[in-house]
This record gives sequence, structure tokens and C-alpha cells, in this order.
Amino acid sequence: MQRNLPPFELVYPSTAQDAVNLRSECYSSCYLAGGTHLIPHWRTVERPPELVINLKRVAPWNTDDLVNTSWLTPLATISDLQKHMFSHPGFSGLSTAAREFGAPLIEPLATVTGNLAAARSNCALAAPLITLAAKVHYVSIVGSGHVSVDDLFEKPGCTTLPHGALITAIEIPTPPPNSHGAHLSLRGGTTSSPLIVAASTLVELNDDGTVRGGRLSITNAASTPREVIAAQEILRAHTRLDDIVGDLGQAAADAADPDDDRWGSAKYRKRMTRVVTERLIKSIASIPTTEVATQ
Amino acid sequence: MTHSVSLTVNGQDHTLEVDGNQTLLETIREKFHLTGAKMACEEGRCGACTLLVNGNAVASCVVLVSDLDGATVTTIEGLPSEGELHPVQEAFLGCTALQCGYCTPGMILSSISILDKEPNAGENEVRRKLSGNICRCTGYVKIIDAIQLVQRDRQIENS
Ligand SMILES: Cc1cc2nc3c(=O)[nH]c(=O)nc-3n(C[C@H](O)[C@H](O)[C@H](O)COP(=O)(O)OP(=O)(O)OC[C@H]3O[C@@H](n4cnc5c(N)ncnc54)[C@H](O)[C@@H]3O)c2cc1C
Repeated sequence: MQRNLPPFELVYPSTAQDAVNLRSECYSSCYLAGGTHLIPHWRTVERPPELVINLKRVAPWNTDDLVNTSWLTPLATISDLQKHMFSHPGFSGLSTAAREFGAPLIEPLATVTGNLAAARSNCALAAPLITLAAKVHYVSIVGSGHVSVDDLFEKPGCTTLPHGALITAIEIPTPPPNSHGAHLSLRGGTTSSPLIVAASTLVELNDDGTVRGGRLSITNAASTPREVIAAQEILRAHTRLDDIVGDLGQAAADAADPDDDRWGSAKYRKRMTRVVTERLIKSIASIPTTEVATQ
Repeated sequence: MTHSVSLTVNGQDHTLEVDGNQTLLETIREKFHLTGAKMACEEGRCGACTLLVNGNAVASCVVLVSDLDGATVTTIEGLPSEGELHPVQEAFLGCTALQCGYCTPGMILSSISILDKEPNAGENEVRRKLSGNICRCTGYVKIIDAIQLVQRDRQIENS
């Protein structure tokens, strides 16, 4: 039997400020971007609010220039990110995460902003954006501001943004020279099976291929995506990556605090956090030094 | 409050008044009576409701139709031209890439999108792109065969 969506009033503001005003005037309201999180949710979990503020016609976000090297507009989709060729190898973790999203029929609809704002533990784009030190810019009824993606997640389904804040852009700093990003995800089976755990890293290398800094973050290994803080110190070691694979794997496993779910026990997911991290680091370490140094 | 939407469906222009909560799938099935796309999981996970919107294969059960003003929508019913099946439909028949047929409209539309966007996609990429369409009968092998058959035919035509 076909179930139609419960009723709600849908409005299309034409500016970000109109959207924020509408949100502040109606308590039972929410923003809608691609709808791929909210629409299934409204069918299965909870009823939609009275007022749905659709962002698709907000100018200038509704233009074609949704992705550039340092900014994503709120309507940039997973498909836009897949198509955009970031030339710097530091961005490759972000491109990989977009390619591995695992839901081809919703990738042209699902926005990166909606992905972050939904604040799910498996938030696919969070880990690479954390390693890239990306920032979320927002506007709210009390003013505008920004917060690093690292500090964005309060608990599942909740961000640290002020009530009613509208994300207006995601800023992605260009990675330092001689840095290399990578992302690796482990799924339960095929490419579209549920995510078990994912890890992203950005490593900064010296000319001789030894490591001088970087970041590591994990997704679906805890209630919200997070940075592995201890990895920063390990990555400042000025040694070869090969020599610190185990340390980074251990640091990631220590930072992981997963719950049991139907796809795997907490113990399994913690172990897999280590395995995925070690494979991720080895994948960068295996790139010939000369190639890494010239990239 | 209703919204006015202009849509081109299978080559024909239409202007409709739609409710804000109306999905593309409901519109196509209930207003246009085109029932090839199926309402199944209702969460965008199974691909039975796949339609082409501006050439992209999307799960139409999670698309609000009011978002689609000016869009072009193609359903399985719109594929045959002048009585001839689309080459992908022919290939599905030729390879027996279907059994119960429930997923077939979505599979064919996704296959067309893959072939148009990445004509030379290798098997792994084809499998990845098709992973949003679930089939519980065929085991996918013959579906992949059908897509590869069209790829080979097109390569021969172009050479
Ligand atoms: C089949 C399927 C597979 C999926 N797989 C994954 C997956 O692997 N990983 C994953 O993380 N997610 C997954 N999702 C969930 C969802 O599709 C993604 O998180 C998607 O990126 C959400 O983006 P959206 O534009 O559709 O968000 P929407 O549904 O429109 O909104 C999501 C949330 O973001 C808020 N929001 C949107 N835009 C803004 C803004 N500018 N400012 C403030 N708040 C805003 C909304 O109010 C809402 O709370 C999947 C969904 C489906 C249906």
C-alpha cells in the first residue's frame, strides 16, 4: 500500500535572511535541503513539522557554481563533489568519501550540508572535512558565526549551532603543500551496505617522505564523528609513516567508543577502527616517496 | 497552499498544481497513471521507484515534486520510440536480465543513466552505480551482462 507523506506547509524563501526569519517565527519548522534524510524520517520515525522551509530557491545558492576549491554552498550535493576534480592530493580523502557514499540514487539530491546538519554517527563527509579543518559558516536570528566541523556535533541528531541557525557555507582550507589525504570505509558487504566504520587522514610530509604533521578522524566509531586527537602528536614524529602505522591504529581504537548495533558489536567496530586506520595509513605509506614529495 | 510546477514528462509539457508534501513518485503514479515506477521501501533504498530527472537516475519517493519546476522526467513508459524498444530494454530481453520484473523499470532507467554518463564504465563501477537498485531474483549477473552488451554494441557503432 502506498503511504503519502503527512501534510505540512512548504515555503521557498528566496534569501538566507528570509529563511532564518521564517524559522524563528514558527517553532514547529525546519530547513529542508535535499530531503533524503528528512523525507524517509517523516515516513517512518516522526511527523514533519508544521512549516518546512525549502532552501532550493535561496539565491545565490540555486546557481550552478556550488563547489569550488575552498567553499561548498549549502546546496552542493554528493554528486557535485564527485564531479569536482580537486587537483591537490590533500583533497583526495574528500573525493573518495563522496565517491564511496554508497547510495547512487540519492547522491544527486543529498547535500553535504544536510549530511553534516543531520549529525548522524555515520555522517559520511564529516571525517574528511574534519581532517581538512573545514568550517561551517552560519547565520541565525542573533547574528552570524562559524564553527569548525570538528566542534559541530553535540550528540546524534544535534549540532552545536545556535537554535534555528542556517548553514550558509562550508569553508575548506587548501591543504598545506606536500600533504596527502585519504579516506577508507568498511561496509558490511556490498558498496551500498551499511557503514561499519570509516577513517580519514591528511598527512603533511617532509621532502624525504617522513611525516611532519597531520590529522586523523573517524566516522561511525562513536556516537558522532570525531578527530583522533592523539594522532596529531604521533604525526609530528618526523619518521616514516610505515613506522607509526600501529601507533595510529591504536590511537584510533582508543578514541573509538562505538555502540552495539545490528551490523556489528561494539567490540568488533572498535577492532575494525584499528584495522581500517592501519590500512588507510599503509595506503599512503605505500605511495613511492618521490611521488608523495612531488605532489 | 499549492505550488505550480511545469514539468516535461516523457517529452510532453505539463503544468500542475501540487501540494507541498507530494512526491514525484505519487505524482507520476496517481496524476499521470504511469505505474512502471513502484512504491516499495519508501526510503530511497531499493530503487524500485527510480526515474530519470534531467538525465539523473533518482529515487523518486524522496523527491518533492514542487522542487522540480522546469525539470524533465523520463519514466519507463517514455522509453520506446516509434514503437521500438530502447536498446537497453532490448538488451535486458536478449540477456534475460529479469525474472519477476518488479525492479526492472528502475534497473533499466539506472542502466541508461550509467551508460549515458560513463559509457566506458568497467564492471566494478557499473556494479557500484547499480547498487541502489535491489533485485531479489536475478543475482545481478544477467543485468550486468545486458549493460555490457549495450556498451559493446555502442563501441562497435562508434568505431
Ligand atoms: C538510501 C540512503 C542512504 C544513505 N546513506 C547515507 C550514508 O551512507 N551516510 C550518511 O551520512 N547519510 C546517509 N543517508 C542520509 C542522508 O541522505 C544524507 O545524510 C544526506 O547528505 C542528507 O542531506 P540532505 O540534503 O538530503 O538533507 P535533508 O534531509 O534536507 O536535511 C538533513 C538535516 O539537515 C538540516 N539542514 C539542511 N540544510 C541545512 C542548512 N543549510 N542549515 C541548517 N540545517 C540544514 C535539515 O533541517 C535536517 O535536519 C542516506 C539516506 C538514504 C535515503
